[in-house]
Amino acid sequence: MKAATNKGELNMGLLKRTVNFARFKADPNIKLQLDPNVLTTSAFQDEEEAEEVSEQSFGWVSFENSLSTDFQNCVKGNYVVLSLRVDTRNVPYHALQMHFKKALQEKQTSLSKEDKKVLKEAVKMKLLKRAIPRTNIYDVSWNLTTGSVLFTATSDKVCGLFEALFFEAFGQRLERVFPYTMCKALTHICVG
Amino acid sequence: MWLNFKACKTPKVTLEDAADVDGAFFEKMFLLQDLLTHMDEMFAEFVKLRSSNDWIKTQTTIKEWVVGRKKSVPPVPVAVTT
Repeated sequence: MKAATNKGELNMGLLKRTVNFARFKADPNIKLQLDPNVLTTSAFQDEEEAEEVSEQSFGWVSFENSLSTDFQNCVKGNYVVLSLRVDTRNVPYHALQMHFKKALQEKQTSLSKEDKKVLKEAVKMKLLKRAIPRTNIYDVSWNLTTGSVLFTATSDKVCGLFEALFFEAFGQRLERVFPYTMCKALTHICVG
Repeated sequence: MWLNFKACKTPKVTLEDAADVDGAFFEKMFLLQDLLTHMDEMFAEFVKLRSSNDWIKTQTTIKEWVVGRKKSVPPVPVAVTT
């Protein structure tokens, strides 16, 4: 899905000529026992065939092929390279209202406020299964020597999701690199 | 606030061999690291200046430069409707 298609042509986010990214810092002193199997627990799981679907599903995928969750090639030299796949499903407001109204008519009995809420949720779930997800892929490059992490998204929401998943997979809290932390690092260098 | 990098353009990384993604990756990382090193150096230079006693002098120079530019900019022509 996300590989080089022709000679010289690159479709991977991180390798494109123009990139957007946020910077993070992981602790470089922690000796990481990187086991590709650890990543499979937080790997992306396709909900296409699943019984239950959620509005948002996310997880790690291979950097070279976003359809694969094989992480054998995730270590490149002193880098760990991964991609975060985020699938978002939406049910249009008017479609939900229409189907909910139809479901209410089919019930033929008056429902309590709580029952209506449950019914609406059930209708929403039914429609979510039919919705085509919007897929976004964000690349991660983690330099194990310096602890520098580049993530090809800049929105706070996606960055927050990434930080949480990173902690889940590697047990490490990331520190956002921004002027305050950069100043703090400089002060450490000047003082110590 | 976050100092994110947006629409950051590096020299084009080409893939000579479709299987050599690693080569393209390392080349791109080298280019990005070069950019980040320069940014960090510039930021460190700014912090050094901002926290020094020379900052007032620099600030005055910047203010004078801004005012000077304002004066030298020709007035924007205004369309007159009758």
